[in-house]
Amino acid sequence: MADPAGAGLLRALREPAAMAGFEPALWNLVLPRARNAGLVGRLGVRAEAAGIAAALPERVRDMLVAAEAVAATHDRMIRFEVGRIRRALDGTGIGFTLLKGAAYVLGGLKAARGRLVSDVDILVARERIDEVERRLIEHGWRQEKTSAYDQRYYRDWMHELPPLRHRGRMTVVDVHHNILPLTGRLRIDAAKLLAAARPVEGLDGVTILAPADLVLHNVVHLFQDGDVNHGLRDLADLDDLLRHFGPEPGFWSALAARTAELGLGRPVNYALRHAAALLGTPIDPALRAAVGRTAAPPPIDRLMQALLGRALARSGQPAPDLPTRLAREALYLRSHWLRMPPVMLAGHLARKGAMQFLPERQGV
Amino acid sequence: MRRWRVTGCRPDLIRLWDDQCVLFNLSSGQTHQLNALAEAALRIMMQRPMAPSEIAEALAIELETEADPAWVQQFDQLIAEFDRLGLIEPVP
Amino acid sequence: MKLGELSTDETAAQLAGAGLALETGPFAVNLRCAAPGAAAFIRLLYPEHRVATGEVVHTDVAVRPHFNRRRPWRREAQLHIDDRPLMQALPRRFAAPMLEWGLNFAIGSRAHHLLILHAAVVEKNGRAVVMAAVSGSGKSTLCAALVSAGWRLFSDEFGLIRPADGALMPVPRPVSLKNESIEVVRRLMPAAVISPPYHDTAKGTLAYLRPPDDAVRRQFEPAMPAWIVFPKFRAGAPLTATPVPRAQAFADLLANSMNYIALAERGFAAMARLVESCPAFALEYSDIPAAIAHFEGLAAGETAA
Repeated sequence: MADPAGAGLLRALREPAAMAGFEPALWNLVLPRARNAGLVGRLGVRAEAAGIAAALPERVRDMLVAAEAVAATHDRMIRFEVGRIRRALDGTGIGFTLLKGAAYVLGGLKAARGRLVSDVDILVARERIDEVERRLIEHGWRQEKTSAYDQRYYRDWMHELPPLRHRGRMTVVDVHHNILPLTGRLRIDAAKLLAAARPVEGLDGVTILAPADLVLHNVVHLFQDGDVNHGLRDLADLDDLLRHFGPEPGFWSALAARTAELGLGRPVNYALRHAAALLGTPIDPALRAAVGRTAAPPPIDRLMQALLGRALARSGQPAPDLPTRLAREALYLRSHWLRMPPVMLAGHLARKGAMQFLPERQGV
Repeated sequence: MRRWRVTGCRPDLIRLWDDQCVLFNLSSGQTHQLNALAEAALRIMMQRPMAPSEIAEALAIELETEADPAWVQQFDQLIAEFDRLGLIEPVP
Repeated sequence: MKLGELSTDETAAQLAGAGLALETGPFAVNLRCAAPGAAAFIRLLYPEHRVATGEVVHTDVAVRPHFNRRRPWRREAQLHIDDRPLMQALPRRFAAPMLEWGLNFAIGSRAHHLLILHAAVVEKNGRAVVMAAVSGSGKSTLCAALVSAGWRLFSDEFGLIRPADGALMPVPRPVSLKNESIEVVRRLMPAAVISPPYHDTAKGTLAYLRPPDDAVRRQFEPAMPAWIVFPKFRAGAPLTATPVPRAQAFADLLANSMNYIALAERGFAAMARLVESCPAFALEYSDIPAAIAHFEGLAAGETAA
């Protein structure tokens, strides 16, 4: 089924200069889709970089300016929260590493611009996580999830504390002691991630994941996030990350080595192929060949490619058609299969399902 | 003696009308209302990093008042409040 | 082409199809609604507005029939903004005014290229008055009353400030009248066009006053703000106008802004400029003619000065 809105959005991301020639009717399809996929701000950044922002219709520019204003406000909020977390840990000597959106913002990455991030994700050494939690709670954060089940689910299976929300500002910090492996077969050595992390200028004790790890975390996230609706945004992040770090000497070989070490060949293969196909992301041929060798047997590979491709290309589509819904659900279930043993899967989903119907979920 | 510097505001983001001040906090994106004394303390810290006792002393001279313990103490509280708002940072 | 130049059938066909693109001040919004009565509603209230067919629109506002699974006999309608449902479904008889609510949402939540105040704005002799207040303060009634006295309608809902120069941008749309104010306005403006009343909404009975043709024709003429007013209707109260100090006015306007936070420094600068460029006062009133006379006095005094 033709999807001109999705095709137009991909084209705008792939060749920003083409936006200058978009007809009003196409804009009227692309803008709502981009808005629902969380990508309007990014279109603005790309149009600006391509030097065609001034050539766009005035009403399109209005919306890009508006999205940029919101994004800038989010960026400021992220920086502020990072500063607050740092102050809360003042004197403990505990450093922390920024993940995902916060890493993009503080790392000054292009990917950060126009991206809406609501939570701050940080990684800390496992042996200090209790102290971090205590400090944050002393400084005004509090736990959102209180049921014993949730506590265990987060701490044991998600490698993180249940989300901590600040009482006054209502912002959320997710404190991780590891990032999720994509399969239960492998463990990621969090100490290595922390050791490779790069300092943030002007903020002692704050680091961001090393470029290769940042990319791999994005890939893992792309496959694990139940909200595949924002998959295209994650893929656009990947595109920005690879364009940003690609020219850095040693980046591609470090990424190849890390990918092999963590056994992430297959997901990296899927993600790179889609980034290249949908967004024209430049990929190092050696890495491409290396991860290509890890591909699943053809029938499975084809199935995954099809599911992912559909889910990504239609991110932000309001009322998804049936194949897209199936693709999303398959990915959601898949991410759950990978996260925990099958016995727990049933329990967790059932619980989530039942809790949806409780009018008051606080204080359960 | 811990000194503090202003990191969350600029002179052009402060308005003093009568004895009430409104300022934009660059760190948090929030807008605050300050009284005139707090505004003066912030402006002084914009010139150079200062400790609460130094601010108390400088303002006592300006206002021809005595820098007694109660006077000094209110600047400790003020600094704590500015810190909580993310307007200032300790100088290492 | 003006909307009034389309027949009711053509209007209905566009609303039921790809949509009717409507230009109102600095916005263009695509409206879609197949409910009976929607076309007549839009034609009644927007005859002078331009139809922006084939142009880029800022947002798509659609009202669609909604099937209530638990109460299938109910005829409901659901508002969609850019194809995403917004707020809960409502009885289908509200389908037409839901387009108005969708327009309000679209402007209030998207137009971050402008500083948006929850305020009524009217203008006389090139000077605009910003009446900032929450719902229920009588601001729409006062706004309609001033329009009846020849003030140009900018909006009864949105004070739109252009950050670059602090000018107020008109967005003349139907004035929403609630409960008793419907009769008050009918008496003040016997010739006014007012939509049929919609009873039992969350705000009681609602009806919409068509904006004067002149206000619509001049919808691209901005004006500089001259007064800030915080109106408060209080039954039986004599008219009092109490000056509001600038810092207080700033805080009160901030509380009435929809996107101040998103505009950050630009919002601060625009807001500071507004309170520095014009006096602010709290207006308590009960008698509409007395209130109109007060504003006329302001306009006359200021022009003489």
